[in-house]
Amino acid sequence: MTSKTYYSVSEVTQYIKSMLDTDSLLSNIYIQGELSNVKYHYSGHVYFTLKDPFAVIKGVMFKSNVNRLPFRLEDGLMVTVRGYISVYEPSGQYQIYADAMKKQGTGDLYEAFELLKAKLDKEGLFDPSKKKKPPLLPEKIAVVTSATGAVIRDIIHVLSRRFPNFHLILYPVHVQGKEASGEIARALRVINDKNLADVIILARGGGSIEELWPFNEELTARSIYESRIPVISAVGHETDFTIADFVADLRAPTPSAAAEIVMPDKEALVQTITDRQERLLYAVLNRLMRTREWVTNLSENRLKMPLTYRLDQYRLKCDHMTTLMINRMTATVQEHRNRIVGLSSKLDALNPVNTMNRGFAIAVHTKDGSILKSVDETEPGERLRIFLRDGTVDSVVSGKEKHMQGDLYEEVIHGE
Amino acid sequence: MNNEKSFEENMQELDQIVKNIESGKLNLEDMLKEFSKGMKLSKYLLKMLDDIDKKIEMIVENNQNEIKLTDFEV
Repeated sequence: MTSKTYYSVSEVTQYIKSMLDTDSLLSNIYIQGELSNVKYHYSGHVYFTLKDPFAVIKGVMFKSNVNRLPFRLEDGLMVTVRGYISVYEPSGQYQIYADAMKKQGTGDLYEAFELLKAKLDKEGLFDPSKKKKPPLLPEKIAVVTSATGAVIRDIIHVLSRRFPNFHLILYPVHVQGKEASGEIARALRVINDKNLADVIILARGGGSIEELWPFNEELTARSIYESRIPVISAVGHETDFTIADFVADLRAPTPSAAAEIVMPDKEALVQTITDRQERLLYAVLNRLMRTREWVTNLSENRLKMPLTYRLDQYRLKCDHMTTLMINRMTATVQEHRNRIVGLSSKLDALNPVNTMNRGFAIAVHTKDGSILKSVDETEPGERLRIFLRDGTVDSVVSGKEKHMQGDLYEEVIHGE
Repeated sequence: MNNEKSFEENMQELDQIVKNIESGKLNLEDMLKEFSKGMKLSKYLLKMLDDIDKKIEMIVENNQNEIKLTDFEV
């Protein structure tokens, strides 16, 4: 051991690297194994370990190759990797530099998926004109999914948030395995036959292509197509597309999203309806005010007596209706004040006091303070208190005359 | 009030009534008739929202393939 030759670490590493790099087997090799320690680096490269029960090989796949993959690398996935084996000198480790990767055993499933998709598409099962619109407000929602697990809970959670009094009917089925598609088909048929709901959510959480397979089966697809009741599909994650999604009347990206789609937000609907009520009230009040003004102007033109008389009647009618409207509005405002936060400020314009500023008066029975709505409610001799803008006038009825009748005004008062 | 109509149809009808009245083209009597109809309809719509049962049920099938509904505990 006198004429020792010493090599540097780099030299040895270089030597090993060149041995591996020139090996014809290692320079283009296919390796099967299970992925673990998958790390998507911010650079876009992915680092992973390939393993079987007895050994591991480190690996890397560069960004440009990663971008070409039709799936995302995940721990536990069984894959076939193609690439070359070389040494990464800074860490002294050999690893596989992967340029392509395929999920194991899924090739057949992808092919079956594409074949069935093409077949059903040709038959018209995905025809947009056949899609049924789910009701805006479903009275009963059927959910076809597993009775255990997060999916049904997520759906119930979202529904409770949007619409506290919802009616849900769960039809429990297996959502993976051989019996699943038969159970799904039967559930859809029973819900239709017995008319159990007015919309159906078909849901399942995320999973591998094998686990989602029942939703890619012809039996499932045809039973969705045959459903008279609209079907919303919500299978897997946002990126998973199944045949069921193509046939369904609507596809939701996730089960929670399906719940959002199927049930409207109750508060928003209440708001919409009360907004329409407000608009009705404003429009009618506005019109009555304008009509009264018009009549007043006309009568001031000193028209002949009979016409003047009629115009007076008309003006009285306007006044009368305006009072009715104000009463009605006040009642409605009261009704909704509890319901809608922030509505009250908008309605200040309807406050009877503001109306009194414009010259209208309100008469009440002095004895109990209730508002006088009809001449029928008073008799000569009764004491009435009249509210004006700046105070009250106490008066005694000296006579009365009924000017108009008709169901219409009854209807305005007792409209409900 | 037509109970056969869906919430959506009733909602569309209410919108139409609001438009009719806001257009100002109706005579006074027709306007008040429409108004009354609109108020009734809006109350009915609010009632429809509250009339939905608060229920979570599950379908149970027995050996004879008979269907029953039971309460579902979350």
